[in-house]
Amino acid sequence: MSDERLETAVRGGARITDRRVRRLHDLLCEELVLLSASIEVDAAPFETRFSMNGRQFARLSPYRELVLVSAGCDPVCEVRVTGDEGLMRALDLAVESFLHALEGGPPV
Amino acid sequence: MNFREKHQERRPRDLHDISHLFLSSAAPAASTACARALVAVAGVGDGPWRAFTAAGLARALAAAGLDVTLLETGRALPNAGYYFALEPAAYLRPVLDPRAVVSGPGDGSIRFHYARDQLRLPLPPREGQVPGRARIVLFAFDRSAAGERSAVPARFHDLLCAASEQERGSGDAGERIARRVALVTAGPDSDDGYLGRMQRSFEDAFPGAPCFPIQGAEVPAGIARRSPPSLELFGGIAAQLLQRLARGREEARG
Repeated sequence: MSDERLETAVRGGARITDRRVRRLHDLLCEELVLLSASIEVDAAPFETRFSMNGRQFARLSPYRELVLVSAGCDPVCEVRVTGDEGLMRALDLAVESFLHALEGGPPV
Repeated sequence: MNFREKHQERRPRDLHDISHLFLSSAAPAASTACARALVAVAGVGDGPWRAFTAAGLARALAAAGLDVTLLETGRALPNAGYYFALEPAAYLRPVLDPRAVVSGPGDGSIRFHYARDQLRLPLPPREGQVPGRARIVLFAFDRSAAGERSAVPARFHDLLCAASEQERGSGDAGERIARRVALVTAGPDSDDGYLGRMQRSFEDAFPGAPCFPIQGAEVPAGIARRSPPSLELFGGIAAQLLQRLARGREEARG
C-alpha cells in the first residue's frame, strides 16, 4: 500500500473484529480512493470521510461486525455492509455520489 | 469555453451526413460484413473520463448505423456498465473477482466487455451482431492499462492482428486495416505530458492515423447519469472520426 490516503482509510477499520467484514471494508476503501487522485480522505475517531472538490460523497463508520456506509446528503442513504451484496450496493451508491460531487451538482 | 461549446464548434456536419461515407463500400457484401475500424479511446485524467467517453462514442457510432463492439480496461470505477445501466452486481463484479469480465448489451447495437486485466478481454468474433453492417471496435483504456511509457496497451495490437487475420480471407492486407485506426483522448487538460506521450506513441505505431483530443477543464454535465451521454456531446466527434476513417479506407483502396 503506497497511497497514504488508502493507509489512512484502512486504519479506520481496525475496530472490525469479523475478518470477512474487515476485508470488505478494506476493499471499499481501496475502490473509493482509486476513483480519483484528487479524493481527500479524512479520518475521524469513529468514521472515515471521502470528499471530492470539497464535497463529502461517502462516509464509512466501522463497527465490530459491520460497516455502515452513508453516501449523499439529500437524503443520506445508508447501507449496512456485512456481505458481498451490501458491498455492491454501498459501492454503487458511493460511485454515483462521487460523480455528482465531481460534476459540482448536489450529491445524491 | 465549456466541453459542449468546444466540441460543437468543431462539428463539421451532422453525424448522419457522414456515416454513409464509412458505411458505403465498393467491395462485395461479404467483405463489408468484415470491414472493421479500430479506435483507441484513452482516458487521460483519472475519474470517469474513460467510461463516459467510451459509452458516449459507442452510442453515437451505433446511432450512425454501425455495429459497435466496446472493449474497456482500466483499474478505476466506474466502467461503461454504469452508463449502460447494468445492475451494480454486474458492473461491479471485478471488485470481488479481479479476473471477471463484465459483458452486456449496451445501448442499441453495442456489444460491451470490460475487464480489469486487459488480456482477459475477448477478441471480437469474426461475425458481427448485425449481418452486413460495418463494424467498429472501440478499445477504451486509461493510464493503469497504458503503463509508464504511455504506450497503447498490448491488447490493442492483439485486436489489430486478429482483425488482420480475419480479413485476410477477404483480400484485405494488415496495413490496410492499420489505415482504419484512430485515437481519441479524453480528460481534463493535463500538464504532466501524458497526453503528448500517448499521442506520440500512437503516431509512431500507426503513422498517419488520426488523433482526436477531447480535452476540457470542465466536467461535462450528465456525467453522473446512468445512461450513455447525449448525441449532442459525442455526435460531432463521431462524425469527424467516421469521415477520417472513410478517407483512410478510400486511400487504402486507391
